[in-house]
Amino acid sequence: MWTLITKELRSLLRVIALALLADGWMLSELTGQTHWVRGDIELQPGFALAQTEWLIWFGFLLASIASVLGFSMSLDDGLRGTWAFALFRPVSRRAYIGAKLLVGAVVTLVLAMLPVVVYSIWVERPGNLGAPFHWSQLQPAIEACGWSVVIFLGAFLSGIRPAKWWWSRLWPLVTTVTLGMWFWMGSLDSHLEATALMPTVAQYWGICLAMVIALSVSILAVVEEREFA
Amino acid sequence: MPDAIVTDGLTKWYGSKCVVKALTLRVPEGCVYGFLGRNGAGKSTTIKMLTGMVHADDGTASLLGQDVATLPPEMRQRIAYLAEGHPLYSWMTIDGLMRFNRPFYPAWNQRLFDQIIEHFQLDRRQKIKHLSKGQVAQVSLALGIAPEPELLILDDPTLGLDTVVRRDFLESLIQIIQKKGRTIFLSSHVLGDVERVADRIGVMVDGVLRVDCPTDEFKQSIRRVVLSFDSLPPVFSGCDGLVASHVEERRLELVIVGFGDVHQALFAAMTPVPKNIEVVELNLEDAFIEYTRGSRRAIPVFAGDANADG
Repeated sequence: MWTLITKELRSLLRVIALALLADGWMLSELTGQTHWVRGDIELQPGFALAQTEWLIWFGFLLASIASVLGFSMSLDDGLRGTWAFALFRPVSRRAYIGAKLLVGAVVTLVLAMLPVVVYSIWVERPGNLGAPFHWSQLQPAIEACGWSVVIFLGAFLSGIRPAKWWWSRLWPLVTTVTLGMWFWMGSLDSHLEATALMPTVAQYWGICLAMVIALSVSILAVVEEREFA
Repeated sequence: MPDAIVTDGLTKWYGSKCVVKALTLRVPEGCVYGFLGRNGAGKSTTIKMLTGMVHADDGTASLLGQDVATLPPEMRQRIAYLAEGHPLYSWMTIDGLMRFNRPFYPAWNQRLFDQIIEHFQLDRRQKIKHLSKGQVAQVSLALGIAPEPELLILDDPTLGLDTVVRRDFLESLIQIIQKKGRTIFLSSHVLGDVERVADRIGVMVDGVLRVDCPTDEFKQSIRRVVLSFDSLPPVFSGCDGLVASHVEERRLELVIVGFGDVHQALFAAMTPVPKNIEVVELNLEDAFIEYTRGSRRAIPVFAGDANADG
C-alpha cells in the first residue's frame, strides 16, 4: 500500500506545486500583501475568514483545487494509457483506487487547511489584526475545507465514470459543488447571522461524512465494473 | 499437460459489432503461442478479456486454471502482461519503475532485471519519457520478466519498433524462452515476428479464430490452386477448406487448407473442365496473407497504367 501511496504522491507533485502557489496567493491577499481581491471587496475589520465575501473567495479556491486534483488523479492513467499497466499489478482494483482516494483526500484537506492554519497563526501574532480573534471563528473555513474533500470525490467520480462529457459525466461534480454551495452557504448564515434555516454544525458534518462515504463507494463500484479498453 | 490459457465461447460485442466471436482456445503450459491477425481482427480485445481489462459478453476464460473474471492479485504475481504500446509511467525513471514494481512480486529476480537492463545498455536514471520506443519496450520486457512469471501475455510487443530493435527484442525473448520454458502468448500482426518464436499459432480473422495448429502444420496445409480455363471460369460454389477465391480473366485462384484428392476430384468434375490445374505451395508469410485478407485485394492500378502507357 505504501508503494501505491508514494507513487500517487509523486505523480501529484506538479499539481501540488500549483495548488501551493494558489494557497500562497490567497494568504498574501488575506494578510494584505497583495490587493487583487481586496480591491473588489468591501473590507471589514476583523478576521477575514469569518467574513462572507472572503469565505466565498476561499470556497472558490478550494473547489478549484479539489476539482483539479480529482480530475488529475482519475484521468491521469487514462490519458497516459497506463491503466493496463497499473491494474495488472498484483493488487486489487479496490486497493489501487483506494490509495488514490486516500492520497487525494488527504492532499486536498492539507492544501485547503494550509491557508487557514497559516493565516490563523499570523492573526494570533500581536499587531497583525486590529480586532479580537477566537479560534471558534475558524468554523466556517474549516467546514469549507471539509466539503472540499466531497468536491474532490465528485470530480474523481466524474473523471473515472465512463459517460458522455456533454451529458451526464459531470453530474457528480456539479452535484457536489451545488450541494456544497447550498449547505455551506446556509451554514454560513447560521454562523454569521445567527439564523438556523440551514443545517446545524453537527448536521453539516453528518451530511459531509455521508457524501464522502457515498461517493467513495460509488467510485469503487464504478472501478470494479467498468472496462479499461 | 495442463493448459495455461483456456477460453470457451469467449465473445465480445462493441455496440452492434461482434469483435470476438465464440473464441474457444487452449494453450498448453510451456507453449509459445503466436496469436496472429490483421489490425482489428480481435487480438487485442481477446487479450484484454484474458487480462480482465474488458469484460466478456459471453463465454469464459481462465489463466493458470483461474477464471479471469475473479483473478485474484496473487495470481497476477505469476502472470506478466505487456500491453500494446508498453504503457509505463512516463514520469518515472527506470530505477523508479523497478522500485515501484518490486514490492508487488515476492519472486522478483533483481539479478535478472539488472542483466536485461545492462544487456540493452539502458541508463537507469533516465525517465521513461526520454527513452525511444524500442528502449521503452526493453524496459517493459525487463519489468515483465523479473518477477519470474509462469505465463507471459504480450500484446503486439514489437508494434512501432524499427526492424533492428524488433529483431533485438525478439532475440532476447527467445533467450528468455529457452532459459525457462515458460508459457508465452504473443499477439502480433507481423508474421515474421511470430514465426521466429512460436511453436503454435492461432489466426484471427474478423473476430473468428480460423487457425489453431502447430506452426509447421499451418505452413504445410495451405495451398494456392490456380485453375486455368479456355473461357471465363465458372462460378465456384465453394469446397471444404476454402479460404479465398479470386477470378482473374480466365483463371480461378483458390486458397485451400488441407488440399487433397477430394479437391482434385471436384475440379475434374467442373464444367467447363479446367485446362490446367497448378498447385502452389505457400510460404508462411503468403499463407498468412492469403488467410487473413479474405476478398480484399490490391487494385492493379499501376499494372493497368503501365499497359496503357506501353
